[in-house]
Amino acid sequence: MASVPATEFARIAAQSEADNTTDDPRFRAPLVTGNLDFSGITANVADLAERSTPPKAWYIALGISLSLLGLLGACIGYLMLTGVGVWGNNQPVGWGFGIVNFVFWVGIGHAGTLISAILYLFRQNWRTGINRMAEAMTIFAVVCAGLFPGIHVGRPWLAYWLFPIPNQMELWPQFRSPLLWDVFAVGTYATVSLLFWYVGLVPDIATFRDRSKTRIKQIVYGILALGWNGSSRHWHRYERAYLLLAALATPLVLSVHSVVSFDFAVSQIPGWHTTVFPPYFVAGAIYGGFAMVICLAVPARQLFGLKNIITLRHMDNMAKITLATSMMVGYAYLTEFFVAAYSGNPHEQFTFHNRVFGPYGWGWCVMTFCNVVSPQLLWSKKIRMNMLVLWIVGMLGNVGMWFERFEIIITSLTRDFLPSSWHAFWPTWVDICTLAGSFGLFMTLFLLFCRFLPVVAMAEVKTMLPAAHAHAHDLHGVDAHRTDYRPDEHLNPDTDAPRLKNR
Amino acid sequence: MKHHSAQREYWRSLAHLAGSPDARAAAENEFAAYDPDELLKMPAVTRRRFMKLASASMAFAGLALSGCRRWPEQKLAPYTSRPAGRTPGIPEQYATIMELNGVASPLLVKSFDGRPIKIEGNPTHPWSQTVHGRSGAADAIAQAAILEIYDPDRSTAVINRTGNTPIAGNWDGFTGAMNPIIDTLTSSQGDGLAILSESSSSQTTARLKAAVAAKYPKAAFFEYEPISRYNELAGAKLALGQPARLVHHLDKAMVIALFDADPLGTHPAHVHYAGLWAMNRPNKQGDMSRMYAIESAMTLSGSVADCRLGVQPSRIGAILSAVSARLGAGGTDSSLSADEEAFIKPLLADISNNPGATVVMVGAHHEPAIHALALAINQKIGAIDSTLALLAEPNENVIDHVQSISDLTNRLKSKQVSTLIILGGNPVYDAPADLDFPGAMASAKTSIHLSLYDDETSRTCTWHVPRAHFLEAWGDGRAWDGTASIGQPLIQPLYDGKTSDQLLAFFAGEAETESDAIVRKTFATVDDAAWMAALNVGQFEHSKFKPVTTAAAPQTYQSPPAPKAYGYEVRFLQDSKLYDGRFATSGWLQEIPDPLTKIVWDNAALISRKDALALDVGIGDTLKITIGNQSLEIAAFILPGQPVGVIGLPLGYGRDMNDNVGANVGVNTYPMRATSAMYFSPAQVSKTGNYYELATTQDHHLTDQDGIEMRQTQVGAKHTSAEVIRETTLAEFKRDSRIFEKNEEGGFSLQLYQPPMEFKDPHQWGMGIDLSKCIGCHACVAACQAENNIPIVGKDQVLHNRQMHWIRIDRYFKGDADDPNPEVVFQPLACQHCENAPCEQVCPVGATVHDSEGLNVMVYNRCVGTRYCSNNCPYKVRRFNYLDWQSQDPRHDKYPKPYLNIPDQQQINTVPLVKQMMFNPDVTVRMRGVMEKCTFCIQRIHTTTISQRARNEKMKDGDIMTACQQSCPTQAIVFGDLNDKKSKVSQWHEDKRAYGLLDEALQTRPRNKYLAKLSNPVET
Amino acid sequence: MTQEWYEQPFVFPKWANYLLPAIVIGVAGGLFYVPTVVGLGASPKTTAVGYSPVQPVPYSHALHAGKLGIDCRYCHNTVESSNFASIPPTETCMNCHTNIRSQSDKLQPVFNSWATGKPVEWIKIHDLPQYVYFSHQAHVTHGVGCIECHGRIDQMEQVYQAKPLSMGWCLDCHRDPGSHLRPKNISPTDMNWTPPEDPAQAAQLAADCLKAYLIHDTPYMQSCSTCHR
Repeated sequence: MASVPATEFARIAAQSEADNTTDDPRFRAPLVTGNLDFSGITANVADLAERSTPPKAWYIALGISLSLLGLLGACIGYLMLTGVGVWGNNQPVGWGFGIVNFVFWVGIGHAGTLISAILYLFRQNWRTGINRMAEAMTIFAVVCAGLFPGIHVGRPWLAYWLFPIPNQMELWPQFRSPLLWDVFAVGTYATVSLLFWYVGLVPDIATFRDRSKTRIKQIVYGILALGWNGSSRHWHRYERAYLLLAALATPLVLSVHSVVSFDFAVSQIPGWHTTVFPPYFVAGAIYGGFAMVICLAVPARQLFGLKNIITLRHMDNMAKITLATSMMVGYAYLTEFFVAAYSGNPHEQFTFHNRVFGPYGWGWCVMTFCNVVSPQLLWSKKIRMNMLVLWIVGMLGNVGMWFERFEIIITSLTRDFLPSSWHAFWPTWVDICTLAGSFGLFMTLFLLFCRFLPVVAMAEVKTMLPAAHAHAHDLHGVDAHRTDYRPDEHLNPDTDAPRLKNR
Repeated sequence: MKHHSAQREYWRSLAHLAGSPDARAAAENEFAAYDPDELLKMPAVTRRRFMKLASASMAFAGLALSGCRRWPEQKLAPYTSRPAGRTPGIPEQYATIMELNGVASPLLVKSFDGRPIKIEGNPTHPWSQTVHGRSGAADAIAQAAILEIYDPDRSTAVINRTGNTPIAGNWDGFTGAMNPIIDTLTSSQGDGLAILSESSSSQTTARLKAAVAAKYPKAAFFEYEPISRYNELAGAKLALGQPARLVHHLDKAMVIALFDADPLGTHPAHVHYAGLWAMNRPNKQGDMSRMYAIESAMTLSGSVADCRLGVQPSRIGAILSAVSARLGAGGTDSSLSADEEAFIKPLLADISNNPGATVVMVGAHHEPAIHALALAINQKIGAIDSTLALLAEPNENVIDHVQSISDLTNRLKSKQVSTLIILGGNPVYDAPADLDFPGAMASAKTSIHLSLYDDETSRTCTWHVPRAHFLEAWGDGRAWDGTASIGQPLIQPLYDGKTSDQLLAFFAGEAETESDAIVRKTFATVDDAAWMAALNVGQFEHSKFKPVTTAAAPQTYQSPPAPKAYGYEVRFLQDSKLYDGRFATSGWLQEIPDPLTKIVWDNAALISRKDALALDVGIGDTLKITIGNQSLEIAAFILPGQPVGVIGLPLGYGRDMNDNVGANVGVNTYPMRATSAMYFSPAQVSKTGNYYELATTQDHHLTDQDGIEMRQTQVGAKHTSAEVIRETTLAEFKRDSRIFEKNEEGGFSLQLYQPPMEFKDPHQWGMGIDLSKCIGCHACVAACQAENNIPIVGKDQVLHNRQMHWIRIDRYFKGDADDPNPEVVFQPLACQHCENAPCEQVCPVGATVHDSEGLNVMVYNRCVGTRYCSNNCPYKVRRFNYLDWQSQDPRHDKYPKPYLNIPDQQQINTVPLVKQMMFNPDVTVRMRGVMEKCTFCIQRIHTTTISQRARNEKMKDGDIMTACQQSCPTQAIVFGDLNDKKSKVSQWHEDKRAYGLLDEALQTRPRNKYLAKLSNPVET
Repeated sequence: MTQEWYEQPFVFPKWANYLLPAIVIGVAGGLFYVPTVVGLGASPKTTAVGYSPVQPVPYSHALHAGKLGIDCRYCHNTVESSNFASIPPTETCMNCHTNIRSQSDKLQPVFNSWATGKPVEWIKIHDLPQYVYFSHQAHVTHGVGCIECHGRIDQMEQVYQAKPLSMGWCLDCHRDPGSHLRPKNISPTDMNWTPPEDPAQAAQLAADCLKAYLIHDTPYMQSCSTCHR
């Protein structure tokens, strides 16, 4: 039946925000609100890519990101031509910001695959709203991460020696070294994540292709769409491939950061040499990852009018996961101290005493506040519903995770076994600019992604519509084929009156 | 070619030892890969210098980790005719001497294809020979001379400042300008001619001075050394009626009483003395000498003394005279403080218990009467001829340097000097401030300064003549006991320098102008065979001074009344590295940390904690120190053990030297020095409120209580063992010799990494370091630096803790913070070559691995620079090339500049050729981004092994010596084959005192073991 | 389909299916081809072997070492006592050439050098990286013949690099020294000696040589520190 033009409808719909966070057993809470139908979703998502001009905010953000990216380039150039000495690293502290940033970004890269793979296997349908964005974020984070091991070595032009390439020296890399395991772990992770992301993109790119007006867009999207024509055969293959990749990616979620944590766990520096590291790092990574997704999703749904697709329910769930993982991280912190105390190893004990009360104690406080204390706010539904506070908590999460790595790496190195060789670490301006620059790289990539690719997995979201469920109406008296579906009609006016009011 | 370094034959031929320039030119030319055009483009390059520089290309061997196989094209320039006995690529060694303040220290210099590259002590000479006689020790200063000779900052030309603007010229121009002056002087019988020289033991110099005096009867001669031995000689004259050289046999002395003396640190013969002292620490019978130090500063000797008391300098005399009185050797027994009484009680007891095995020493800076008193005591306690030999000084009349420079200044002021010749020295910088020597100099119409650098004095004179480095020309001198030696050059003067002898010979109108002829003439009576023999072994046998026959008369000494009110006294200190400031131009010495403060590239006012609290200053807060109307501002450094009420001011810093490395480093303390008080004086001290950052190589980052406590727990309390330092007292050790076998920390016997590979090779290298012998003198650091092409990094980088020394000496003070006499422990720490090395497990490219002889080798050209190995090294002995140190200027690199060269070729393009001549071609010069560390001098191991295998020789213990071991004056370091059960190192590893650092905690199985420290304090 | 293709949204045309095998073959081929080319191109066998610059003096080893049979060690006389075989000084040339060919134009550079005392500047051919410490002494005195690294010098009119001198190439010997050694009674400079054909004898000889030269352990020879310091 005739209805308002889809895009127009989407614009309007995007303004209103329906609360679909109820867990009323009588109804299946909708994951898409605002009366969006199939075409509405498409219109809503495609909107940003098809607009002639994106919102001003996008330009401003891109401007800032690009300038930071330039800064990164300059810093790397200076570093390459001069030597690692331009950083603050010194004799006991061989690893400074370089590795801190590496571990930080790898951690960020976790949420993506977790959402797309593990939640997919667990049939967590709500993932569909955010998985595309999260996966993109993963790829870009891994790009940033991959940058640092490359530039932090003394002779970057020889870094390829870390790869097992046959050569005239008849030498192989040393396979006992965790750094080598990193090469493989991160490499595999990047590859699989990229494939996963791209496979997921194919049907949506095809949609873009079909909707694009200009020839160039048609051809570019057309090639990227690999000739997708939506035939059931294509769909069948697609589903299979996606399932397989999900199965493949799932172990990686756990492996990558476990391996990264070996860089420290396998060494013998007090404060590094701990068996709790692998689970601890993975939990931390997932926490950090979700924090970052929240930080991206909040503005994105605001700017690009995705409130009906990335609904409050999505945000709510993410907030809950963040809370859970933050508590795992807190538990890991406690475990470390317990192990140190219980081990009776004076060096271990000193290191952790020093971590809290030593010269870098302030860093430890920042870390604990951001990663353990502030997420506790998320117990309250009010706060989970308040996008601003949620965003702030997410941001604190990122800060906290960075400081966690800083604490682990720096404080352990500054004071190890022999008091004679202790020395403090302070970053130089190059260190700081490089860190800022890496954010520039990340944001640039992400903004371009938002502008030119579907930020939401449309095809998957559509499967969440009641209409997509063959016998939807049999389930709870809602006719899936109705188009005048009210997002809150399942609410009981009596019990849910307050919530109705405050909208 | 049997002239092989491993055989240690010191062979020479006049032909190619700076003999005919052609031979030299040829000699330097082997394998030169120079680009003539490039070199000729260099300003003012004479052909001779060009030839010198050509040899630099030899350094290209090992220079830069160039991966480039074919390009750039390399040239091979062989000799035109190879000097007899020269085998390209085989280093030769020559015996020579370095004279400092009138005392010659015998040296052995290694030359590689005509380039001197390493200085060592001369093992065949008693005064640098170490205990078991195979190696010769040399101190850091002597070893750093190798840097000095190639210093690009050295003055390269005669400079004429008669006009308004300085004009660079050459020797001929100088002589031309001098001739008329000489004529007038000759006619006036040398009226108005004054010659100021450093004190010298050279017989040639003496001969030439006589010649000059003969030619110019009215000429006046003066002598000045800022750190003078006059008091000592005058004291001897008081007691014996003649000046005497005091030669102490510390090996025979079981009780050594030091009254502000520092035989192990600053004494002219300290290298030899340290060796003798170490023989009783402990000796073969397991006994130890006991050293009492009562001193007005924290000295090396004091830091290793068994009983130590810090007092103000003005008290030394009083205490000594009290001791003397109680021993019945004259002097008055003035009242002593409780501490002083408590201190000398056991001393007197020990003296009476060890007749003939006791010696008393007094610091050279105390007045003659005190020295006389000490001699009387030594006479009384039977030290003379047993622990102390008295030898007659060659010249009867003792020169009071302060008097001498004052006289000269007065003559200048009264316009009696028309021509002033200054042979070396730097009076404008270091003459007593109250004389205003620089001002006085203006009156001399012609003033000539001979020196290595165009320094403060040169700039005040009308003429500057570049001086030949002692490795560039012939000379002679006498060791502490008078043994005469010849100084041989190893290379032609790089910058056409002249020796002071040459200058004197020129003014004396001698026929000989070349330094070799001049010196040979002095020894004309010696026939060629004996001459050669003397050159081979580096000494004339039996040329010691004659012994003194007269006995020391008992002295009467009235000690000055103790100062009424408590006030500060300043003590001017001979610097442990820069001596009196003449070595400030040496980057190596500037960056070698001070043994006790660990300060580099600076000096500071050394102050006790008590005084610091009283003045409310911390380390780095600056003090205003005032003596009379002179005052200066200098950063304070709280030194444990510094006597209360004494401010130590090291001399020799704050040089005013244009663009030199040593320019404006630290604070010049000479302006505080007056003729009346050259060594110590009362002073006012106040806090300024300013702060100045001092760079130290240790104890950064110990600001908080936790850190300090943790250090205490790891290092332990006085004379007790802890994880890092194990030690006990001799008495305790005699009671229970198994004390060190106890497990110090409950032991974690599980090891993290897989068990080490098994080592089946015939040789298994290992090292041992005896903590009770180490005196922390840093000779090993200098040796390592020279042997292994180790760069300096500069103050800014040391503040980043990026210094590159492969061996560092950890210095720990034991005892609570305000203990006036803390115990000091020195722990030399280089790579421990763990059999179970943590670094090897984590390197992703296998750039650090074990070789089959048990060495933990670092393969520079494989290193990518992840720095993981350094992180995982529990000893933190690995050093990373954060920047291209060889190309960096140590002076100003806060923000290092980028290089646009291809990294692998960088150093060839950026390191000055003259500096490249210094490199040891057997050791790769590391580029930036590469990790490096101690290799146990693997190049020495290999050269010896290869040549011995080629000649089917069997390796003996001691055939291979690491650079640090070789230079150690106390033989605290041994190196050798652990498979050879009879080798010294095996015995040390089996010793009851042996322990591996952190071995119990980490199971690293270090190949280096420490012998726990034994000390011998008075039992209470 | 009746519509023109460009009125369609851009879906791959039918012929695109034929691209598939092409792409597969292309990628697979490339994966094999590129590394092969790069590998061969960059290998020292390609870059180093055969390097034969024109020297300032057209000195013929074929003549001196081959035809005249002058022993290598007459000129390279430090080969047994030093790391360097050392290029002979001009003097060595002049020993003969003061009388023989004393007017030859080709020899002018030598005569000039002798007159001026300035060296003849030969161009280095066997050029190891500067962090490699190769000792002629260690090899020549332990039964390694010149020919092993320098090839048939005695047949070279103009010297060229015969072996790659790459690290892998060095290791080939250091991992299996025996088969590259010659008995003590054969001079290292003997260019014509070849190991016995019969494998049994060859093996026997190898074993004997190892014993004779006290080469007990190959681990030692493969330690990094053997060549790198």
